[in-house]
Amino acid sequence: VTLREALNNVESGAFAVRMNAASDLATFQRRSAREPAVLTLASCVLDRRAALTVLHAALQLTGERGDFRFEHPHDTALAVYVLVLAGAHPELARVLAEHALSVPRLWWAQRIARTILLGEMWGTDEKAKHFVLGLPIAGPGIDHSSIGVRAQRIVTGLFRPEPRTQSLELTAEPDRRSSSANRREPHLPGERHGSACHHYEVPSVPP
Amino acid sequence: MAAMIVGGDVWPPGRRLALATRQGRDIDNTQREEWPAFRLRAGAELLGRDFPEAELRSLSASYNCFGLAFATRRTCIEPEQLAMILHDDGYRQVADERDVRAGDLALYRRRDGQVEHVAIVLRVDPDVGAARFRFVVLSKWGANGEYVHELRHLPLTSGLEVSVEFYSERRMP
Repeated sequence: VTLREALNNVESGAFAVRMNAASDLATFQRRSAREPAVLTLASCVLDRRAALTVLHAALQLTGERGDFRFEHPHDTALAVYVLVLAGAHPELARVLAEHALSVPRLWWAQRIARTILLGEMWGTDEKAKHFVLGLPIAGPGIDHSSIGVRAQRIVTGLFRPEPRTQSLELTAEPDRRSSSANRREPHLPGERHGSACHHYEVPSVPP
Repeated sequence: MAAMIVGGDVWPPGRRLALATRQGRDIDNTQREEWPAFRLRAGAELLGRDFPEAELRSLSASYNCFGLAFATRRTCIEPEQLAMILHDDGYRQVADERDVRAGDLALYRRRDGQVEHVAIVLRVDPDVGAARFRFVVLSKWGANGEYVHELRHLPLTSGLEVSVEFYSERRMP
């Protein structure tokens, strides 16, 4: 099973039906560890490029909000993506977890995100607020060692009812040494040819 | 190349209902967002293949099995609330299967001690040939449908072995 096949499987309706037979988070997590596609993903994301592909796939899914009357259509897949990233790259899981908190109508994904972020807050508080990570986003012509992730979480209000803001910036410098740098294909939604910027807009939601 | 994500959040997510035990202690709960009809039907079709004997009663994602048993299908309750509810609502364990009656609860407990699922007993039929009882129960399968099924014919999801315990709040003054 390839990474792509595993991603497709995790995003399928049949997978969601099986996983959503769980009534609580612990059972959901146990169940996920028995799914072949999840095990494949967990193995794949040990490689950082694959982990970034998963993060990218997850960020794309968060943009598909579906019908506002119903639960987010990709809640199950997003929850699994946070879980598998948490196993191999906690810093990437944290990035996705923070973003998941701003996506409306998630069930499992937000629960897992809260678990990760609250555990983090109770643990190393200062590190949780500001951190610099090693990379994301795959693409031809990108030297992965040059890619950095910078994320800042403003924790004020995390336990309070008022809305809080958070920002995430993923940055990557094209590999100047690579001859293919200028032939890089766009890989992010909304990417403009000739542009190096991508913006995911997440509307603020009142508490 | 850069990607920027900016936003606020919903904290906590979901809608909470005012719900309390018989002794007045708050029961933590969250109402889950509903699923669209096509998704619920697709789930029922898939589960119908795996559990053809189970009878689908209702389709809604907004409550779970604990919400069915303790909140009349209004919301989702986490199993962590169970001990408090059983205590405050006067439930006691029914040790002998012969004493189980319709309306009692079947708790599916994992080896690690956690209750994974709950069902409401609908019928107790003696299986004379097998010298045991056959229990027909009603339970909610996560966000999927609500089913009438045999006690152990259901999609338990943890993969761990479970034991079934019966509880009753019956009062016979």
